[in-house]
Amino acid sequence: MVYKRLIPLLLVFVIGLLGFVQEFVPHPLSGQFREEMTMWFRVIGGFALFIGAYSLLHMHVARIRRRMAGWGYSVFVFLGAAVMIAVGLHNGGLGPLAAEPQDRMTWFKWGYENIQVPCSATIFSILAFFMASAAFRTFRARNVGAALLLGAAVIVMFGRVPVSEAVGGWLFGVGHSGVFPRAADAIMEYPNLAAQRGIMLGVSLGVISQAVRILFGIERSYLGGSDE
Amino acid sequence: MNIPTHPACGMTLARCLACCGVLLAGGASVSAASAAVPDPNSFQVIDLPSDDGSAVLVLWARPDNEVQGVRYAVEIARSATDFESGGFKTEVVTSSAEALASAKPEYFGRSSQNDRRYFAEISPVELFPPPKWPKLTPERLNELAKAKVITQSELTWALSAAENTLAEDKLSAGEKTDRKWLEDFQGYMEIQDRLNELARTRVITDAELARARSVPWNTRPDAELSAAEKAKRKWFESFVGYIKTEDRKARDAQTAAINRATYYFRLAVLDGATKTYVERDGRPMVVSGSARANLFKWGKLNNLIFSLIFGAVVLAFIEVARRRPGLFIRKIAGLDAVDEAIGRSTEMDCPVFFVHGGGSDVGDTATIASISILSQVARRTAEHDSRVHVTNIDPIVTAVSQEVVQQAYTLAGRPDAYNPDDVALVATDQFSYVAAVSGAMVREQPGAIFFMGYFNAESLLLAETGASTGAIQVAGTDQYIQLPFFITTCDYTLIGEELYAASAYLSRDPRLLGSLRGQDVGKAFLMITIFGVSVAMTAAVVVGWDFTWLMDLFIAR
Amino acid sequence: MTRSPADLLRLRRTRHVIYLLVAAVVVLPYLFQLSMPFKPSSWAEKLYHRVDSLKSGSHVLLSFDYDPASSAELNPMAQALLRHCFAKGLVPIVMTHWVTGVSQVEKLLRDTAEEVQKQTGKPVESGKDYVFLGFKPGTSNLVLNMGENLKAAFDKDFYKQPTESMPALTGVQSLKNIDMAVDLAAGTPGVEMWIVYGSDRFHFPLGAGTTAVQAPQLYPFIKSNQLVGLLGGLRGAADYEQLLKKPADATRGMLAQSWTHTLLVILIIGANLRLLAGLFRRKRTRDA
Repeated sequence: MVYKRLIPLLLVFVIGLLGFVQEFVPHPLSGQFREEMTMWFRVIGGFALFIGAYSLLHMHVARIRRRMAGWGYSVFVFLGAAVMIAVGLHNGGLGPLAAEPQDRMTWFKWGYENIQVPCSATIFSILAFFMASAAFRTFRARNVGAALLLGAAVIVMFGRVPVSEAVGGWLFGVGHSGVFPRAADAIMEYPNLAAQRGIMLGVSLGVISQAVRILFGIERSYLGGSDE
Repeated sequence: MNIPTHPACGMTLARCLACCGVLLAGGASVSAASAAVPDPNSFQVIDLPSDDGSAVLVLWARPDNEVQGVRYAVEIARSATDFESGGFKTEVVTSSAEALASAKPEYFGRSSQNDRRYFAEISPVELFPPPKWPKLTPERLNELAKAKVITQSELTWALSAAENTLAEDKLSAGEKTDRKWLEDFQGYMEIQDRLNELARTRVITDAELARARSVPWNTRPDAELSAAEKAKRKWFESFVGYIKTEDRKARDAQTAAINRATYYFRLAVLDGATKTYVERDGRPMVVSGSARANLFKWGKLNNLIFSLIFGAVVLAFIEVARRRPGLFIRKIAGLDAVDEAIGRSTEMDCPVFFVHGGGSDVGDTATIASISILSQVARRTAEHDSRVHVTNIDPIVTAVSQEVVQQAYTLAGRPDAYNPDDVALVATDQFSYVAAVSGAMVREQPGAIFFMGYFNAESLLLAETGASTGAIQVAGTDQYIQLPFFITTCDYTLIGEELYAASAYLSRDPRLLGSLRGQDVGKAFLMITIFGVSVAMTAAVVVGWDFTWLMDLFIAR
Repeated sequence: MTRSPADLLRLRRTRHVIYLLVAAVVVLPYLFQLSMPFKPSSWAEKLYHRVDSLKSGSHVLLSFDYDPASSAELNPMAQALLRHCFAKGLVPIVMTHWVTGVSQVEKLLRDTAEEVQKQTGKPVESGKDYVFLGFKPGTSNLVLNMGENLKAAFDKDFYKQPTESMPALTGVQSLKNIDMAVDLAAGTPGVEMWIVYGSDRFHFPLGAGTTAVQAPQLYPFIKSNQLVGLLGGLRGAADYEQLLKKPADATRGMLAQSWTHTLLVILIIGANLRLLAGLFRRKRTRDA
């Protein structure tokens, strides 16, 4: 149907082309166009939040209704949302239409700083444990490639910490305590950076190719449905 | 004693020598200064190239016998007559390597002439800024006190603050309070004084004019005000905010007008106390010029050419592939494993998880690539009569994913099997997303997990949790700093551009495969260029050639 | 790769042992308050010396673009930079592009100012010795607007004081007038945005600090001299503290990091020795 296919594709082409051209035009109108598009993007994103919130709540209501595995956590979703919405609307006694007061603590701020932030930090800190278990499980010298990966990882991991200078001094003499850090820096600055740049170049070309396909309507999967 | 005198000037020999010496010295000084004055024909003003019309360039040639450390004064006026009245501004440029045109190849290129030319970048709006509303004078303050706009004690504070010109750090606490009060009152009066003009120019309506006039000046705290007074104050604050936004727009328009105007320039050499103008016909030479907003950034021409050529190559190969389907594409193990993974999940009666990245944004090409892969995964899952659970962190990506999965199920002939709760927004915060997805993985024990898109620190957390469930894991991201984590924890990883090739690989659409071939041509060009230029630059260092022009071909300014 | 239930159980047990060991080596150094000397990296030294070379009264823009989740790595860097600025009499202009980071940046700035005030006995005031602009949406557009007119982009600071006549911003009309900028970022918007829309356009020296995972992403910019220095992760923060001669949280964390990395290396070597032993055993059985 026209409105489902042609109009979105035309919009993508025109706005995409203007966005591309804007990069090369220093005229003030070009900057104004960019600001306007950024603002529209933020406005559309704001509306999309309603869709997301509805989707989230509907999913959890279904879980509770059907008593699916872990439905108790879904109750906490509603509890947490209700409490934070309530204290957010209260806004330190100023109501929802006033700006958040900066000179004192509100329940909303307290909830964010003392519940949300420590929980996020806890999840983030699991990274240390997961990294240890992943490294233990994966860094095995099963073939030449794996052995190279293992060697590089060990040198970089060790070279990045102060204890490597003490160990280097003990092994190679006081004047050569920087052996491991220098080796780690050399691995990061030369082979690693070269590989990174190669991947970066390939990715950049992939992005341009993808953009050309989207611009000319060859890639349409983001519209939903088939490419026919 | 008869002292001989010079027959021409009647001076004694000593005086004659002294006088001639002075003349000679003076003449030498004059001739030295005039020899150090730039050639008038070289003095010119041009528009700064590739800019938004906010600056001009003043150029002049370096004199042959320039005195070291000499300075040049560029005088700028709004009209030629302003030079007589002294209404001009001066920019001083010290003779140095940074002031030579060769220091700015993006403006002047790399001609050898640039070592012999100076330039000055002049921004008119910085020299002639838009006028500000005048501050309140003591006379005006007295009038306002008589009209009872302010009280007598407030008048005292205002007058003492207006007369006090000490720097901020030298004021006492009381003086600082007075100054702050005056600044706030000046802001209030500026709005009041402009109300008629704002109404006349239709920035505000007549109703807003009347309402603003009715707001009195007072600094009593909110707690002492009545509800009506508080409401008035609140309205006035938002009214002032609106006026300031309009002011900013007006100021932008004024700035553009100031930059567009024609300005007049003179050039002088400053040698100690001596100021010698570049002259024409015995008078200081005046040159005019104006800034223009340019339509193209010439410094990015190489970028544009490369983009257009590459785009054309991609489109050409798409056309070739459409006429000759069956283009070869190398095996990508991670994508070959999609069917195997989905089949395994179906056998184990486990769901398939499709996890979007924590940095998913529908404007990001990695996210669009992951949505393309999702449509293929969802279709195959529907064909296998299995369930796909898609986790999202972005609301727009959620909406798009829902459309894509629903359509995939419909095309597979199983529209009834689609459950919108399987494609839901899980959380909008990075680590909340990790916690929710990890919990879902541990509870639902998927048979296959696909991590596709833009990932940040959550990559290892999610992949390691997935590994603990024993599922087959296929990951794809263009974030190369997250690739090591996926490579160590997942069974298959799509590295970098393989993510963008995935939609072509899975669908085998000839048009998409053709674009991959175009990409390969681009990569081959880059490889040859990098190798060739590296050899050339190495040779240049060894042999002593100048290959700076080659570097400039690839630098966008 | 398919795994049997027995395999999964064994893997789970191994994981738990590893987690206990990692927990121990992270916690113990903090309990015993030990320390270890180390040499700062060259990139941290470059950033330090660049800041140190600025004259008193110079303006340094500090963009702290991270949320509380990344504060463990980036807060020590931010604090060290602020201490350096106050010690040299520089004027830090602090802002953030991440709305979730505003309150922690404000608290950090306030606490550091109070600490410096107590140490020196001289007042350190907002608007006079430093500026906190807070958060404004717009990311790259905001940077471009600041490059044209900083005071129009932020007509008031975080504490609602007008910036037009602020003593701390005297002589600063736009980004062209700042003496240096340092961006501490945990993602996007972050350092790349500041390079493309900030330092490349308005020509001010830019330094960066980022989490250890993201630091390699910025190596190409160091090599091309688009960044004057880089602090990577907790080690980068510790390097800066070392150069400042004021060891703090990051330096204390170095011992825990050292022991953890050493443990990982031992575990990896141990696992590989076990693999080798298994290979030899299988070879011997085959030969036999």
